[in-house]
Amino acid sequence: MVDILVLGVITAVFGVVFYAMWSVYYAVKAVGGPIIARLVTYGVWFMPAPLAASIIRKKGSAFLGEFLPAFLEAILPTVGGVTNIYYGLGQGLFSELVYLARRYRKYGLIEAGLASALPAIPAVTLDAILFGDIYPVNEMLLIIIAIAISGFIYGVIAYYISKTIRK
Amino acid sequence: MYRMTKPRILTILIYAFTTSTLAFIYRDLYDLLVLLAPTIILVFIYARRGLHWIIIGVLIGLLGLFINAIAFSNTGETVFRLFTIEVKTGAVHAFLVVSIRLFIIAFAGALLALTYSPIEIYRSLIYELKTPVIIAFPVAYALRILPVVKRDYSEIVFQRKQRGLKTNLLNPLDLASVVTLLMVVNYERAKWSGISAELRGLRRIKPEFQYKPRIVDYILLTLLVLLVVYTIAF
Repeated sequence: MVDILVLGVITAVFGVVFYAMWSVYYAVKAVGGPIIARLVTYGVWFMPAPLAASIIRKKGSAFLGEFLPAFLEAILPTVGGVTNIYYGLGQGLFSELVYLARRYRKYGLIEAGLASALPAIPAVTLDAILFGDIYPVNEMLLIIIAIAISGFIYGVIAYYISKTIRK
Repeated sequence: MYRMTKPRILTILIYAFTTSTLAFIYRDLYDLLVLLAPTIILVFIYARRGLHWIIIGVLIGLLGLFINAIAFSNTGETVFRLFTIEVKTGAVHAFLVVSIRLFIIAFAGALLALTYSPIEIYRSLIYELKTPVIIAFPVAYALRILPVVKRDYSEIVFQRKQRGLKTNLLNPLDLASVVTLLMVVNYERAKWSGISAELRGLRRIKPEFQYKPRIVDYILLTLLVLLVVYTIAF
């Protein structure tokens, strides 16, 4: 029960943070265009997965940690609408893969960073399908790497937040 | 004043999902316009309150999309000049396609989120869609504590400003301080709520499927089928 409610807390907290991030994202997007906006802000959208996994440390926690705030975002009035659910599903699955690869035994700093970096792949793929953001292969790779670095930084931050909470 | 009968939440959910998914798939400008027109009408009938925030959000986003279109799709004949930049047919077409797609997604989402409250949507997910408890319960709890988290967030921002600290969400360290405080406070609340619920012997409920479509639901679903068939056929 406590684990389910912790997921509820992460959903609510990141529901508020994501809601606030939409205006930040669009302000950056208006000034610097979509690529810069993604590089600067996308890491924040990948944070809840490693945070949930690092606190709860159970199978599926990374996936639900990413999917549920996205689900909440979809039912609150935001520009992304129900497409947030697609992003939540894709990003959650890729985060979960990191912990699955470690057979759910390790929930350390590296795992948190990777679980926040790997969702760069579905995020960029969905952006390409949804917004037609398709660039030459080398540029596409650069965008994925840059977003993954941004994700890794926020994953590390998520790990330290979880450490504070678990104390 | 006469009030239009609202469609069931499940019907709106189906409509919002289908139109957003079709907006992903369609590449033709005409197909996207056909999809946008009824969505705009539905939004203005059912979901006008708060819509201006969604429109402002999309309009701000359009500027970025225009920059992107000029940077990556500026090919073909020149349509007009913007200062020193020649805006070509490719950029105009790419900008229009992505803008309309964004409007469809935003309006379809608004139709769901502004017609009903989040609590009503959650109840529908339980009773109409029979969503698994592992998804429904955290969402229910999140919706319940959302006003408390919003209040906590405002207090943290206020206190940080009083101490001369910034709350720039683009700065990872500022964001980390805000999220840590929000998580620590609400984690304690969740822990004691969970213990209290367990002590009270909270049981899982097995709701019956209760979707009862009304005439307006049939109209909306028929419109959706017609939209799909029309865009595929033509």
